[in-house]
Amino acid sequence: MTPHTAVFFHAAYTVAAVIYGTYIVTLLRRSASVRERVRRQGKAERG
Amino acid sequence: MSESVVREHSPAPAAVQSTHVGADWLLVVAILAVLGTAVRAIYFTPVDALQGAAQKIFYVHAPSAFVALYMAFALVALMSALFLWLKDLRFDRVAESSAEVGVIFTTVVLTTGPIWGKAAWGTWWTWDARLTATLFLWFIYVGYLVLRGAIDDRMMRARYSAVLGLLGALLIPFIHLSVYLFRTLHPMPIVFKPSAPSLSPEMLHTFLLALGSFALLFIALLRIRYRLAVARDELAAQEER
Repeated sequence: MTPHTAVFFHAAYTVAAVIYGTYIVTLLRRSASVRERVRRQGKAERG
Repeated sequence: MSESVVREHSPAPAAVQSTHVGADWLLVVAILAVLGTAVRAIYFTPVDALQGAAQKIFYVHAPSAFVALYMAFALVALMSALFLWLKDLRFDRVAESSAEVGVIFTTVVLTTGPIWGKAAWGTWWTWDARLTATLFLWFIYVGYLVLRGAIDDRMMRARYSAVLGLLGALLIPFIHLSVYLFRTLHPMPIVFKPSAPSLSPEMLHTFLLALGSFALLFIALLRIRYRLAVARDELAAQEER
């Protein structure tokens, strides 16, 4: 690999991994949180 | 708008139960596909003679752009039009989900692009037609998501955001044609063009693999985000009762 431009290539792949990775983790956490609230609310409604 | 003409398909409790994403098999497959593509791009695809390793940014940048423009935001426009026509909130949920995932893909495009630009052109950014229009597209759909958060009424939120979602997508053909219409630093299409692709077979195969794996990632994320939208609506309905 050409050393000079390899820095840019590594930077771009890292940035993409961080953006996609952060979104996936955030989305899964949001989903779990809302699911839990729906479950608790349903349980409270049933008495 | 009369509630009688609104086709609201409230999810049954069983549907909410199905929002379990602890081990979403499609997401796992998509992540493995993207990682496999990255390994192929890094270790098993030739280095470009002119640009060196920086050209490999193409395998993340271009598929992300393709998915954002021609899948995510095109789907927002289609679902928005269907919502305005049929008033079915399921279309609004798909549009909302697709817009959010599309913004993430466009964020990757707008960050990897300047890094590649610095290596290839010697500058991080230039205000040419394609780059500027893509930035505007990102702002429009970020605005779309902010707008949704600012309106409480479910139907009003769906209607206003459908109009914005539809108008925002008018930029897509402009972005596609911008490299033909204006003098720009951004290169012309090298794969999706009338003549044969200007890539070696190994590079072309890696690109097509990347396109497939990022499309799969989009579908997996859209599926999870749609389930979240369904669960949120169910929660709102529970709280109103």
